[in-house]
Amino acid sequence: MASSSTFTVTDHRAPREAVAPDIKAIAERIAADAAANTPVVTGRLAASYQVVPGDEDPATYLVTNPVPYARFVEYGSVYDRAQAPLGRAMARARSATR
Amino acid sequence: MTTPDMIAQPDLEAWVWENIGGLDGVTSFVYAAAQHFPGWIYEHHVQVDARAARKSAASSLAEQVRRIMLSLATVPWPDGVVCYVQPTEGPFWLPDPDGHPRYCTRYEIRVHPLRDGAIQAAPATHPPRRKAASRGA
Repeated sequence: MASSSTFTVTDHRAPREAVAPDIKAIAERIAADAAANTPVVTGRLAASYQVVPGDEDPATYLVTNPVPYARFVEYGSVYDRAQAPLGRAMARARSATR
Repeated sequence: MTTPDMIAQPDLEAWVWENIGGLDGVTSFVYAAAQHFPGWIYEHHVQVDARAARKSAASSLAEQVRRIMLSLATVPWPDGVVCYVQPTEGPFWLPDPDGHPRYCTRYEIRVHPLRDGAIQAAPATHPPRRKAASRGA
């Protein structure tokens, strides 16, 4: 005998909030990995990686670095080759979570 | 003594450059690589910079590169097979420190060798052993 059930979703954010701590932990590992592999002259760049929440989605975290020259260390320029500490950390994280 | 048969790892960095190196203002390099499935799947993380005299031209160039990169899986390659291409960052605006226009894009690309791409065993070429010099000689 077939039966049917009806569910009412009361909190659309609940699934994302459930995984948010794990996502935050992954972002923190990426930031720590990037910092550990950042070239050091003064240490300012390596010490400035931050994990900040995304705008609306509770399970989105951003790894940022506010140091002005961070983009040129990461992506290189016409004068310097890229060191890519964050890109390499991301690559390792993508491999590890696959 | 011979070396065992092995499968040659396809040179993706050279293949990418063969496809986009003809475009003026484009540079590319691999900044990370790993074996995803040891001995078979190799993943490469490639950055491609597109530079031009004007921002709009650099943007168009980056888009042209993006189309070529995303079609790599459909292009016959004598050394291997491109089985996955995914832009992981960009294309985004990132001018050089002197203000010169540049768009930057990063891709993850996975490749595997051809099924018949094994390198046959070959005799190892070790240098001849030398006898240790006797003391007091």
